Amino acid sequence: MLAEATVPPTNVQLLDVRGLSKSFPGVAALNGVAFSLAAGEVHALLGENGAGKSTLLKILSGAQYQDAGTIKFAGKLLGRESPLERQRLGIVTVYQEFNLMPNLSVAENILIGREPTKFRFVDWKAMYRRAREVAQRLDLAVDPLTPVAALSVAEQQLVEIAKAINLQAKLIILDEPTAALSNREVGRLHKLVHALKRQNIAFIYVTHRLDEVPTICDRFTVLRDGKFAGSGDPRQCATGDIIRMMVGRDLEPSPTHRSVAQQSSETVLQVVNFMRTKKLPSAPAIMLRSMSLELRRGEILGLAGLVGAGRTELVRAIFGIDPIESGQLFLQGEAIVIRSPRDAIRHGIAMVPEDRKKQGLFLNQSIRHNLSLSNLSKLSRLKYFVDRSAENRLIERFRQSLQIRMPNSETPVRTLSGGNQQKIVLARCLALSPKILIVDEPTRGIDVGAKAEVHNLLRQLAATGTAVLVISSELPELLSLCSRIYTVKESRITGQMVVEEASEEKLMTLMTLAPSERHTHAAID
Amino acid sequence: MLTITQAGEQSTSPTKRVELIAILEKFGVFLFLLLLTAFFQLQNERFLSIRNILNILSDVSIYGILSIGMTFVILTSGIDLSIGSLLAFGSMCGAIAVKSWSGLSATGFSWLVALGISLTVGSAAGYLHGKAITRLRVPAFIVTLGGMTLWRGATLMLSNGSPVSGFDNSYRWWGRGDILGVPALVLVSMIVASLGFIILRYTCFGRHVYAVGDNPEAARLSGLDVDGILIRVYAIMGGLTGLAGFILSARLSSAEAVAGEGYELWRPRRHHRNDCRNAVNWGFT
Repeated sequence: MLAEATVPPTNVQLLDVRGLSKSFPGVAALNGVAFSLAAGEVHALLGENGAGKSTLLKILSGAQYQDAGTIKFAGKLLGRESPLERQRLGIVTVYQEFNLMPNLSVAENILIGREPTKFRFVDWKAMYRRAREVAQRLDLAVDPLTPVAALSVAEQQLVEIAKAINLQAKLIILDEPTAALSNREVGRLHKLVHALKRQNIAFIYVTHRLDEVPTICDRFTVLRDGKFAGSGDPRQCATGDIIRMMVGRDLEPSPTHRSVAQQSSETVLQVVNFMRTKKLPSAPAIMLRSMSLELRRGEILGLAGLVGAGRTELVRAIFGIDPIESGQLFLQGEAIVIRSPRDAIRHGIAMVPEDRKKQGLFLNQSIRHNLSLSNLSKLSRLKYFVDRSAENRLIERFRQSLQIRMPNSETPVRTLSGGNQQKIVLARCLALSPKILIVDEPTRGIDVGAKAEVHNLLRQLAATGTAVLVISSELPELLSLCSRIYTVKESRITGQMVVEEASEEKLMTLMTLAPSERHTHAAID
Repeated sequence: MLTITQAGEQSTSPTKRVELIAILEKFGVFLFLLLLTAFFQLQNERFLSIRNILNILSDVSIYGILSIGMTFVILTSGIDLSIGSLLAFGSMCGAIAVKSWSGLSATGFSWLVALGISLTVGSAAGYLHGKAITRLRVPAFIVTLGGMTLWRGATLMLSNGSPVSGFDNSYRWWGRGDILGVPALVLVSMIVASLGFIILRYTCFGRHVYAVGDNPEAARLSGLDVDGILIRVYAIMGGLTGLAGFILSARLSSAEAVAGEGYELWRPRRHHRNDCRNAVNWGFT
């Protein structure tokens, strides 16, 4: 039922991909992949990071060409059309990172390249009229004169879709459209996809959120290691089965040896009354209001809170990225002052930052350069020279222990999948053998397999005595990983509990409600 | 039959085309240089004579030394617009010191004094640029644009606008002498180029320079002393500028207040074989 169901359920075949293969030096990204899609069908494309989804999308949109295999679209065999020609044929891709010009207006963005003209000049009136029409069709309530930069992420996404509609797309490819959306926005997007589907527009829907697949998709196809791993109807298929197809094995819910965490063990790091009331010139306008916490040897400590509550700001202050106005820091009982990440690292603290691309990686540089950077002084010969053989041993050690999938150590990090990129940042921190490891959203945007690997790794670290501080927006992640959890709301620590007493509801209450409201909330319960 | 061969061709030719583009991207500069050389050789058969080649190499050596420093600066996503002025200032300081130290030229070490002073002045000025860029958070473009005017003005004040000339042979050897027929300044620029290559390729500092240029935020979070690295890079640029200034004054046997004008844009002047020299120059970086 699962693997064989490749025949589309109804009407005309819009897209038919057969035997598609593509390799890059060292890796076969796609290997004989078959894929088909009917008009008006919403088809989920699933798979771990690095399974070949992005390559398939790039080949469909004309950004790359296959080495072998055929693509038939709307009854026509595709050749080597450019991305622009593919768009004219009706294949439009909405990438995760939008292709919008932030300082141009919504209308200009929607109609870019096909502006209505009058005597060879842009006909602005017609332009705004057209843009308004398309926006209305999508229920996008913004003035077409607004610059795109002023819109929310969800609205920008709608502008991208509006662009596609204006191009008379027959197939819209959405690459992780819900990764950056709130629940309400996701609902709105789903409604829109349903509406467009009724107008016979087909979708390829790439997502890591398996829970949305049955609600929105008619069929799914799973890729694994560049090969077709199965397809079916998501409504008749358990999520567990889909996950098994994606990873090729059962994900053992790793043993909860969090109770191993020695409850009585020594305090490694003590943060006392961290304060900052002035706004920083750098992005975060969020303050610290007398925040204190205690981190023990061998435990995984969670920091729960909504985005913008001050979680990230607190760990940034601990790590010396942002200054504090007052407050003290004790490392194993000794007062220390940390003024820069350099100081923090010297004291045995390492941090995996929130945004791996902006704050963690040197995207254009090799895995080698990225992985050893923090540790170069220990890998040197004659003080100044990089000891390449020691470096190679380091890379090999982490390639094995973190199961980093990479062609070779000279590959630019840019070409790796999100999960493997995250492992590179982790490896760089672990190479320092830190006493304290801070990880901010360690599993954001990485697939289930890599996620489980990261979780296991953190558990192993804790078991060997490292103190781990985890920030995560996913409460289930914190609940399965941590031994203690602090909650943060509006720049204050609002609660602390051991995991045995914690539940999602309890945490959510502490994260979202003021103390007074909390009582009434409890009373209503 | 026919369709089969066609399909075969279709699948191979595009990859070949891609390879050709990749090769052109990698070696296009050298190919262009080769074509240019062939053109000049056809124009004048003495173009490829050893004498002329050494001449050209001597001409580009100064730019070569500067371009090594600029490579460091540009790798950190910076720019240094002050090098033309600083070159004049460095050489002027050295030359004036040598001229005002009576009896020095008899010892045969006037070159050492001038070289030492040019290097010191250059790196100190570069260090100041670096400090201003990192501590005051002023963009490198602005700081070094200021430096461009500042050092030129200082040179003019120091020299009253007139050239300082008349050095002894030990000094002039650096611009005109040779070792086994290879001009000294060509050797100097080659040594500088190899040192630059070794530093960027094999040392921790070289790695740090690349990292800071690619993503300064990530570099800071990885525990690098980003400010310190930038300061060192501008000091290196300044030091090499001083060296280039000394060598230029040795070659011209004169330190001139207007020396190095326009060097920040690497626009060779005064000669007619411009295109060819530009090509070599681009090859250097």
